[in-house]
Formats: sequence, C-alpha cells, structure tokens
Amino acid sequence: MESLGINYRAIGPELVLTVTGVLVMLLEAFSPGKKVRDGILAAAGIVLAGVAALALWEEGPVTAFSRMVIVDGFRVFFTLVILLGTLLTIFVSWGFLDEERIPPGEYFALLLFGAVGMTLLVAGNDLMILFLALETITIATYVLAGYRREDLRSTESALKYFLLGAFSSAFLLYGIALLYGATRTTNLAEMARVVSGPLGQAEIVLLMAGAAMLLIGFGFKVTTVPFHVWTPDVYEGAPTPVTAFLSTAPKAAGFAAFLRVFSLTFPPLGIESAADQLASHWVAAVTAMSILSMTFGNFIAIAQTNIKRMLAYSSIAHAGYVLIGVLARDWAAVAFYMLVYTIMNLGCFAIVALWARRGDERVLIAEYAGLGFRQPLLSFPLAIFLVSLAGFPGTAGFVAKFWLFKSAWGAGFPELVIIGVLMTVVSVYYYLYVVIVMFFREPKEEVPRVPLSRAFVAAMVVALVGVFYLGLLPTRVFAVLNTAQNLLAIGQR
Amino acid sequence: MLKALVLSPLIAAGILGIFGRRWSERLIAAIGCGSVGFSMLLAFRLFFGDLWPRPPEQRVIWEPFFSWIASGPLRVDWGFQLDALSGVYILFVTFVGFWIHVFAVGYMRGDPGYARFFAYMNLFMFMMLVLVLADNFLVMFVGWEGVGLCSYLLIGHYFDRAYAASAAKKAFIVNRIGDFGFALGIILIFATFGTLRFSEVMGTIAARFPEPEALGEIGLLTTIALLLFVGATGKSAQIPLYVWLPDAMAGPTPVSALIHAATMVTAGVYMVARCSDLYARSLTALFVIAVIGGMTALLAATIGLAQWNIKKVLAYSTISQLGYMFLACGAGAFSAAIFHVVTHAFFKALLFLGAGSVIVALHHEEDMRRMGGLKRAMPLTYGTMLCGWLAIAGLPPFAGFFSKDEILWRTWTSPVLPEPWGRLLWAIGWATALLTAAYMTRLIVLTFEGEERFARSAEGHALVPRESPPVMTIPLLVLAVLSVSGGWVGISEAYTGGRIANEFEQFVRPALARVPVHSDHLAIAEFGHGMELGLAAVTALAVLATLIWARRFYRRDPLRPAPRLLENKYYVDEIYEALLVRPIVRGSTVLLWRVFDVAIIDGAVNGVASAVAAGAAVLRRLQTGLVRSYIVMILIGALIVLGYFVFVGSQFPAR
Repeated sequence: MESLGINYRAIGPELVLTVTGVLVMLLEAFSPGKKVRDGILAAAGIVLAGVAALALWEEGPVTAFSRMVIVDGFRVFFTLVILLGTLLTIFVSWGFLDEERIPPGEYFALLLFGAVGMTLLVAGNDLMILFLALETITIATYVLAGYRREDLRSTESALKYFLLGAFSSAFLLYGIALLYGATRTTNLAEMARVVSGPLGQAEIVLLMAGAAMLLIGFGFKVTTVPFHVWTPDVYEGAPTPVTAFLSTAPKAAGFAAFLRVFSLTFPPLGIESAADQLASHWVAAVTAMSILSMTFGNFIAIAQTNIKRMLAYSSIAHAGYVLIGVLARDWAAVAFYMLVYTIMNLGCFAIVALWARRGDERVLIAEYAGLGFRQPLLSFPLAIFLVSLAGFPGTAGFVAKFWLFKSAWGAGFPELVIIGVLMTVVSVYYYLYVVIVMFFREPKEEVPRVPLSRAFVAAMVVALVGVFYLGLLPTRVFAVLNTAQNLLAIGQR
Repeated sequence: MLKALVLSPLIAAGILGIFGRRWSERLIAAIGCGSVGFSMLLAFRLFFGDLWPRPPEQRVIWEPFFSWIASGPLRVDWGFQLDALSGVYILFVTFVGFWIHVFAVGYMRGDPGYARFFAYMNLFMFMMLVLVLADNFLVMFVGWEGVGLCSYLLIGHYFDRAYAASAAKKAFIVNRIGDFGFALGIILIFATFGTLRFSEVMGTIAARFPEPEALGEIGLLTTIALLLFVGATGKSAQIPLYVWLPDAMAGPTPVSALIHAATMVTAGVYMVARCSDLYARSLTALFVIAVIGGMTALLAATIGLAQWNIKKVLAYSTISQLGYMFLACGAGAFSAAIFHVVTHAFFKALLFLGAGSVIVALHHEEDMRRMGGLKRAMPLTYGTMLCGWLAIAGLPPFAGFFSKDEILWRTWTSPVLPEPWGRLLWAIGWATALLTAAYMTRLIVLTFEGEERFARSAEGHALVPRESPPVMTIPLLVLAVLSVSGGWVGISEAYTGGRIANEFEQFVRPALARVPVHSDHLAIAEFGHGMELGLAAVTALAVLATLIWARRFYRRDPLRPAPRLLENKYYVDEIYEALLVRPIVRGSTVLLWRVFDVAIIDGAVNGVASAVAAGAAVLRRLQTGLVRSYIVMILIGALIVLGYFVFVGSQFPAR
C-alpha cells in the first residue's frame, strides 16, 4: 500500500480559490451588495491562486494524493489560462452586475467555484477526479447561465444546458466505468501502463466502448460537432458576460482533460498494444470531429444575424482547429492556442456585453451599424479582436494558428492543415462582416454613447496588450512552454 | 537606418490616427507627406550611399530587429534585408509614394476623413516597406496581409457609398483566397527546408535540389511554387483572381494610383522574383506563370477597350501590364519583370493621377462619355498625360518601350518555355501591345479631345473645368519626366552593339536566379542583336501605326458602342457569383443552418420582440420537444462513434 501522499501545496491554487469563494459568499450573506469589496477580494484570490500555481512550476512531474493529482508544466500553464479567463470575466461582468441588480458576492463565488472545478480538471490524474471536477464546473455554470431569472431566454438557456449537460455527464460516467472494467484502474498513469500491453478480447471491447463514451462526453464539453447542438442556444441565451466565461475558461479546461486522457494516456505507441489499437480509432474519430467542427462551425456562422450566435459558431470552429493540435499531440500548441483564444474571445464578448445593454437587447449584427467612428474605443478593439480571431498576422491569433498548423503538418496531418487554412479563409467572411457593418453602414437611428467603466477599460487594456504581445513577441511564452514540454516528456519516459 | 526608414510612416500613421481629427489639413498633410519624404531620403541615402558603392556580390545589408517566434526548430526574427532587389523596390515605392501623397494633399482637400486618409496611407507605406524588406516569409506575410488590410480600409474610405463597401469586401475576400495558397506554401517551405529565411531557403535550394523539376512533373518544389503563385494571382490580380481590382477603383484616386497600380499589386511579382531560385527549379511553375501572365495581359486589354469609366480602363490596363510582368517571370527573365514594375510604377501612377486631376476638375465625374475637349482647360494635365500615354503604349524612347520590349524579346528567346510557346506568348504579348496602344488612345481622345460633353450633362449649372493647383500638377510633372526617361537605365545592350551592358539587369542580377537552359533549346547567343533590334523595330512601328489609326478612328466617333461581351467583362463577375458565391451563401443558410441548427430563439425573439409573446413561444416550443430533438441528434452522433469504436475498433488487427 503506497502512502496517501497528502501534499497541500500540490492543490494550492484550488485551495486558495475555494477559500476565497467561501469567504466572498459569507461576506455577501452578512453584508450584502458590496460589489467593489467582493470583486477585489475575488480578484485577489485569483491572483493568489496564480502565485500558488507558479510556485509549482519548478516541481516537475510529480503526483500527490495517491496519484490522484499531478503537478507538471502542463497543469500550471492551463491553470494560469483558466485564472486569466476568470479574472477577465470579473472585469467584464462589472457593469452587468449593477444593471441586473445581481448580488455580486454570490456571482463572484460561483465564478470562483467554477474556476476550482476547472483547475482541478487540469490537475486530475485520475478519471474520478476528472469527473468530480467536471461536475463542479457544470453546477456552477448552470446557475450562471440562468442568472437573469426573469428573462426567459436566460432561463431556457440554463435549462437546456442542464438537461443536455446531464445527458453528456452520463456518457462520461459510463465511459469511466467501462474503462475501469477494461483496465481495473481509474488512474491515468496506471491505465497508460496497462494499455501499453495487449489485452484480451473482452477487455478490448470494454476499452473501446469506454473510450468512445469518454470521447462523446468530452466532445460535448469542448463543443465539437456533432455534440455541439447546445452551444448556440446556450451562448445566445446566457447573459453575455457569462457567455464570455463559458466560451473560454471551461473550454481550456476541457481541452486539457481531453489531451490528458487521449493524447497522453492513449498515445499511438507504434507497437502492437491495446493503446495502439485504440489510438488508431480515436485519431480517426477526432479527425472526423475536427473536420466537421471546422466546416460546420465556419459555414453556419456566415448565416448568423445575432453576434452572440455567430461567436458561438465561431467557437465551435475554433474547437475544430484545436482538435488538430490534440491530434498532433502537441499540448503546448493547444495550451498556447487556448491562452490566445481566451484573451481575444473575452475581449470580443466584453464589447458585445457592453453594447448589448441591460437585458441583452442589442445583439444583432445589424445593430452595430455606425459604431465605427462614433465610438472608436469600442469599435477599434472589437475590430482588432475579430481580426485576431480570423488569424491575421501581427496578432496573437495568427501566431497561435501558425504554431498549431505547423505542428500538425509535422505530425503527419497535412489534410487537416489544408482544411484548417481553407476554413480560416472562410471565417474571414463573417468576422469581417461585423467590421464592415461597424465602419461602413449608416445606423438607422442615432447611435447612443455607451459609458465605459474602469473595469471594462482594464479588461480592454489587458486583452489588447495580450493580443499584440502574443502576436509580436511570443518568444518568451514559447520558451516557457517548450521547457515544460521537454520536462513532461522526460517525466513520462 | 532601415528601421527608421520603415518605422517613420508607422509612427506618423499612429500620430495621425490618434490626434489627427482635431488638426488642420495643413498640419496633417505636412506629417503625412513628411514621414514618407523622410523615408524616401533615407532610401536614397541607403541605396546610393551604402548599397551602390559595394561590389555586386556583397550588396546585402541585413538588420535584425528582434526575435519573433522561437519554438523548437522554428526561428523567425523580425529582420530586414536590403539587397539589389529590395533596394530597387524601396527606391521607387518611397519615391512614387511620396509624390502621390503630395498629390493627395490637393485631391483630398475638404474631405471629412482627411486625417484618417493620411493615417491609412502612411500605414500602407509601412506595410509595403515591411513586405519588401522582410528577410523571411513570415514577416513578408505580415506585410502582405497588412497592405491588403490597408487597401481594404482605403477602398472603403467613402464609407457612405454602399458600392465602396462591397468593393472593399470583395477585394479583401478574393485576396484571402490567394492567401490560402500563400499560407500553405509557407508551411510547406518550413516543412521542407526547416527555415523561413529567404537567404537560407534560396541558399540551400541548389544543393538540395540540384536538378530542376521537368515540365509536367508536379514535385515538391513545383507544389510550393504553385501554391505561392496562387497568392500572387490574388495580390497581383491575375486570372482567375483579378476580379477585385477593377472594383477597387471605388476608393479615392490617389489610392488607386499608389496601391492599385504602382506598388501593392506588384507585390506578387516581387514575391516571385524574391523566390526566383525556387521558381527556376520548376519548369512547370514557370510555364504556368507565363501562360497565366500572357492570358491575363490579353484578356484585360480587350476588356479595357470597352470600358467607359476612366479609372476602370486604367484598372484593366494595370491588370494587363501585370500580366506582362508575370509573362517575363515565367520566361525566366526576372530582371525584365522588375524593370517593367519600375517603369510601370512611373507611368501608371502618372496616368492615375492625371485621371484624378480630371475627375476633380469635373466634380467627381468618372464617366468618359461626359468628358471630352479638356485639353484646352487643362493643358498641364493633358501634356503630362500624353507622356504617360506614349510610355504605356511603348513608343521609343519612352520608358515603357524599353521594359516591354525587353519582356517580349526575352519571351521570344526564353530558354525555359517549351517550343513553340516562347513564340506563341511573344505573339500574345505583341498583340496586347497593339491593344494597349488602342485603348489608351481611346482614353486620351475621349477625355481630352473632341467636343466638350460635360456641359450638356451636368444638371442645372454649367461646369467650367479648371487646371488643378500646383500641389497636384507638380507630381504630374515629376512623374511625366520619369515616364519619359525612366526606361533609359535599362537599355538593352543590343542598341549599342553590346558595348554598354544593360545597367539595370547588371545591377539586379546578383539578387535573382538564373534559369537553367534547355539542352534542346537554341542558346541565347544564337539570336543576334540584329534580330532583337529587328523585332523591336517591328513592334515600335506597329504601335505607332496603331496609335495613329486609333486616334483617327476614335476622333471620328468617340462614343461608338463597344461590344457587349467586352463591356460586360465577359460576364466573369456574374459567372463567379452564380457558380461560387451564391451556392456557398445559400448552402450555409439553407442547408446547414436550417437543417443542422434548429434555431429556436432566432425565430422567436428577433430584435426587440415583446417579452411575453416571445416567452410564450419559447415555452411552447420547449414543450414540443426541441430539447428532445437535440438529444436525438447527440444520440445519433454518439451511436456512430460508439459503433465505430466497438464494432470496428475491437477487431483484432489483421496483422
């Protein structure tokens, strides 16, 4: 019997986030409605969690808590991406909380608890932890999606998210059970060891069915076709700041788990083994999912008139690109992509949220007409984020795509790269359409001036600096990721 | 110094973009032109003070800036490289760019977006210089996309005109189709060579691929070369992606002159010349380029014969001239292509600015049917336009003659084109030269000669055109001088009996590849100087005859209707619309959206519907089971995945 391996440092970020979340909630109960206090506390907790995560950087690949939790560069980087996403969401939600008269402490606490689930998902080295973490995320986000209780769209969105989410969780759980049946373990490292050898016929069937279930469950969480159907409705119906959150941090966490399970636990080994047999099939299935997501996401986005729905389809398309990175088994490229995507997508949604006003009324693309030169502090950043989403060189979106495609080409997926580049070209059409409407269309009625809050400006500055820093000077981040990648490779050996 | 040269317009663009709106036109103009003028001075200094005195093989100045991407084996730096090729480019780009900026000071007077215009123009200059000076493919791609973005912003400058907005969008999207090929080409280059630096790729290509890929062989190099060329067809408006350029004329005329005639559209030619070592190793790619170039030259010239909009004529003429440049590249005469880029920049910028001068005088009238007789009112514009006319028609000793003749001669004697394509493409080029003379004569006659047709059609008050102010005519004069004399730097050695070599070719040669010579092909030496001179004389005489004939022909009846097919540009736009655009849009709306995305909310709550009614509808639909239909969709997907894994995946491998 091995030791329990209790090591509180290994779950430092999660601990800090949980404590902060509880604290914010208690404060709300005893002295409600103090937005600034609660917000600063929540932000401080996130920053502190980031420090705790950074402290784990040097640790190298080690495990803790009976090998349930792993500490490596992969986890630290994804944790930081999630924390950045959560922090920016707090900024983005600033004005929305006042408009909708939402108890701020409660809202921030939910964000924090969601972040706990996500960071735990990234840290999980055991399928049980992964499931636990996923459920933590979804419970928090169900509530967030339905936050505008009087608005039927919001309620409907939450209900749909809940029903379909529960449905997909069932797949996940069943998949985990089947995998346990096949390998007698839920621990990923142990599982990787078992599948590296041959298995009996019955176990193979269980393994295949379990992996398929897991793939379906993850496919739902990271919004890939054909498990994407909930995305447009939920993204459209949820309050915009919540949509911003849903489309970034949980997806980064979902992709991390995806990578951890499929790319790292079931890699193609090149020798006759259960893992190899499985790998050839999950690679084929994920290739299909990637192609479907890229094509459907991009083409359907063209037909959208609602900007939130358009961004939802764009998000599906981006999930398709990221799957290329999963296939190439280059987690660093995926991590970088998710960092960039989190920044630019949150930037986009921040502006959409502000422009939509109370009750998410102004969300049609046509309603952006005339925004261009009348409110340049909204239109120019939005144009930059959209152009970055389209992968324009000089912006972070280009560097992220370039790395992803380059790595996929090297890993032997040229056909996916060709489709990816082609779909990028298609995507320009709908991203640019918004820019055209903003700058070249005359508005039907007088364009009101929207006041900018300080928190919004802060979010803009962070996102804009991020887009250009990662677009022009990504070298340092690359170096950090490459180091982590090498360490992980050594640790795995 | 290279950095200062590149950054000067960027800084000015930033300043104008942020503060320009509150400033006077005079200050904006000073900053806008000053920054480009500064770049121009630096370019001259670098070229003549630093590059020129060096021995030919050492004419490379490399300035690293900072590291951009470093990941594993991939290292890309922001670095600038000045050699003979980019040296020639920065000279004429900054020079022509500066004079067009000056012209724009007068042309844009009173425009509400004055500061914005100069900010974008300066940004364009920056992007163009990045494109030209880049020392690797990725930085070049930044400039490549950047000039496209500026072009898009400037075409849409008159954003209250719906036509301009749609033209801008068309330009951008067509260019992105080209960039698809370009981006894939870059990835393939990295996969093949492990680097993206021009010097490293082109330096190792000869060692790694000693034999050129034969005609008809689609090897690795041919694939790369053709993918990159797809990008060039987009940027440089060649078949099949030329359709955006005529529409791009919706922008202000100085933009047409700078971006859509003199500089940006020649980026494709530049890229091919920059990669000449690559292209020289793929005879298939060269052949494709030559044929596309020749076809484009001829096709655009025929359309140019039948257009009524003065800027559209010039736009098709630009496409046609770009075709010449690619013809030269395809024939392996990269230096002739670059030479034509330079002379074309002078006379085409002149023609566009002249047209701009006319357009301003007639209060933004662009239809030549409502012009005529302007030579009396606008003698300076007329005189300079005549220089441009003779230069583009290719009459000796004007600039266009030497460059065009070089291209025709090098096509005739091309060592890389299979028999009898060299002669055939020469004949196409020759016919295009005559067509050029004809449609340009038509333009001059319709605009400046004959009776005045504008007074009749201007509603209400009579129109009295006046000569443009000096700020606009001085640039015309400068460019006119160069349209006359610009070709003298590259006079073929045949004219001096081999005593004085072609200066221009001598200078750029070290930066360009030399194409392999077919073993079964006649060596160039066998074509004597006599034959070159003879062909040149035949061309010149035929052009002269065409000019005289066309002038008489169009003076007799300037408004004679043009053939329908040509006036409607062979219906290419309509064909593209019907075959490509509409199916994609309809497919995505009808098939994908309606079938795969069961849009609930979009149908119910569109705009600001009343919450109660909308809510009821939503609830009703919820109960009728849309969630259920989603679950069914997920379930079907899940069953496919599951079935695939269990039934296909569980089989023991056959091996």
